[in-house]
Amino acid sequence: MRDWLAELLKPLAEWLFVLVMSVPLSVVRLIFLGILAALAIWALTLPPQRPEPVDGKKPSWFTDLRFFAVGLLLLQSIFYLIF
Amino acid sequence: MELSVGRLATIDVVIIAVYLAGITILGVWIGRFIKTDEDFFLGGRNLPWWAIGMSMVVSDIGALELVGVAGMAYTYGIAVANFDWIGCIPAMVVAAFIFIPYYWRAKVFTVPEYLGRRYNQFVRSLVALLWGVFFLFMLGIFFYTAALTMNILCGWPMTFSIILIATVVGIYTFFGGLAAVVFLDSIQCVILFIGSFIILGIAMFKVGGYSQLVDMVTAMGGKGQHFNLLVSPDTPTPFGWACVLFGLTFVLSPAYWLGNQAIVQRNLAARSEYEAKKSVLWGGFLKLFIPIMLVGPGIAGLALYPELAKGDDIFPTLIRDLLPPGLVGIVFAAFLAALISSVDSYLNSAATLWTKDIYQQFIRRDKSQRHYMIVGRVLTLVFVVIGVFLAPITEKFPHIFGYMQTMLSIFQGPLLSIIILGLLWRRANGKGAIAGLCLGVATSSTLFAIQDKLFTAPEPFLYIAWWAFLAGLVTTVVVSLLTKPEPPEKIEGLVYSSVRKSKKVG
Repeated sequence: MRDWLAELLKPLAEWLFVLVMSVPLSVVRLIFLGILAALAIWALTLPPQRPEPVDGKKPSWFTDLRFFAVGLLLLQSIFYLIF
Repeated sequence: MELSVGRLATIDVVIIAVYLAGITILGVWIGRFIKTDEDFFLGGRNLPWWAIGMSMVVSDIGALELVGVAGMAYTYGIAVANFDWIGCIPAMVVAAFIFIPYYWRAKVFTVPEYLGRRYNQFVRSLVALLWGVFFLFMLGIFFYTAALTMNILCGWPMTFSIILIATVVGIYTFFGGLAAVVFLDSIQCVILFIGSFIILGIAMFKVGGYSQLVDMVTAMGGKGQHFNLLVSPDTPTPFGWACVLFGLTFVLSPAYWLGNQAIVQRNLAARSEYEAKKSVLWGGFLKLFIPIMLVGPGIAGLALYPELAKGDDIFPTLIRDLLPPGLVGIVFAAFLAALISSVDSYLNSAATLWTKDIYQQFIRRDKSQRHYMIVGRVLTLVFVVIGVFLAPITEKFPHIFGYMQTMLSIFQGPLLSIIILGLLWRRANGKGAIAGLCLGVATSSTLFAIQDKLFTAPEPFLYIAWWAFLAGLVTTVVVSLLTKPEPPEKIEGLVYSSVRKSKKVG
């Protein structure tokens, strides 16, 4: 049963392996950086992520967590640019 | 005195003893404020974001990672850093803005409890059992890794080390619950950062700097990829880019940061929804430094000790050979901090799951809050004992870190699929979730059984997690579409679209 199943799935596994091997590492780097960039853009499209106003005062822009997230993703991108 | 064996000088023993006594006393003191089950399991839902973020991170980097990641870096290079970078940051950002707010608003104790409300009681119980059993095995692994390092470092007997850690963690988790865990974890996080950077700094000084490190490692031959984060899938590592992208970034990492009870439980204890989100992003920021602390010593160790039989020996070897008395005590305390922070988290979460999702559901339903707090404490003690007895089983697996990931990947993928669909797709229902979970686990189990005949990568747990996730996702969608949808009133407030419209934050 184990051998039969492995033989059945082997052609698919080999095809997928050839497929991923055909992607150059430079393109892979772009994909990784693209994911981080896409997340940063998505974060900026969210509604403001600030704390509840205290005494009717609107919290400052730098308490907005969207900017924290974008900063985090930018820092992360640097590592994938370097290495 | 028995503790003077091996490399530890008196000053090191004093530092370690003060550290262990200090956290135990502090944990017992915090226990004075614990009156209800909500206090014990969720710190009264009043914990600060900075402590939660530090606790999340330090819980994630147990001794398991100090030993295992440094060992993987020694053997395979910096590609292992993907686990803490692309394998954490994106998932943490998504968790902060989408998933954590829903859990927090739902005022649940556990992730299975959320799934129970979204789907049904069976899903809740099944997921709680999976996590509950997994946590017990993890406790065994944590105890074993601690004992291994202590044994290499200073010759302490394995059994003595296991019992020492079990006693300290058992006492303060028993008394202080999650509040003690989180506050002590934040102290341990500071100690861990200090200790890790000490050993990194000394190792790099011995090597002669980064340029020298690169020259030495590349000169060894066959180590050309040791400084590449992205490596080809045909390299003999478990970290080819394809499995990192599909298995880690898309499945195991999100599953961990938004589905792992030991992690999410902290966010549920935040003072406000805003603080819950902030704690995750703060944790993400700290995560950026982890590979520098863990992978750095592993690769520097390769330059200094190229002939080690096992990669997992590198971290203890560095402590033993490079550090003078006094610093050994600090670094060793950092190691203990890493270990203890993971053990306490899994211990407290195991007690929470078994109390809230099993005991309260099936054994004693309508008891007082104090009753469930006592049950949580009793289970904490029981699980310490179980962890101690499970520790020797871990010895049979050569790569500790891979072992943990293997266990995780069996059910993390399918679990993630039902969490994502539950939150983002109104049409997903209980029958679909059960089918998706079962078929997903069956898929990963089958692939593990034939992995040697199917995959070229060693320890292909990331690929397996990806396929199990897909199996769970497709099955949940198909079965949900073929069966009756959940009533709208049942899922109100539990599905993304219904809450996003309100744009409620803070």
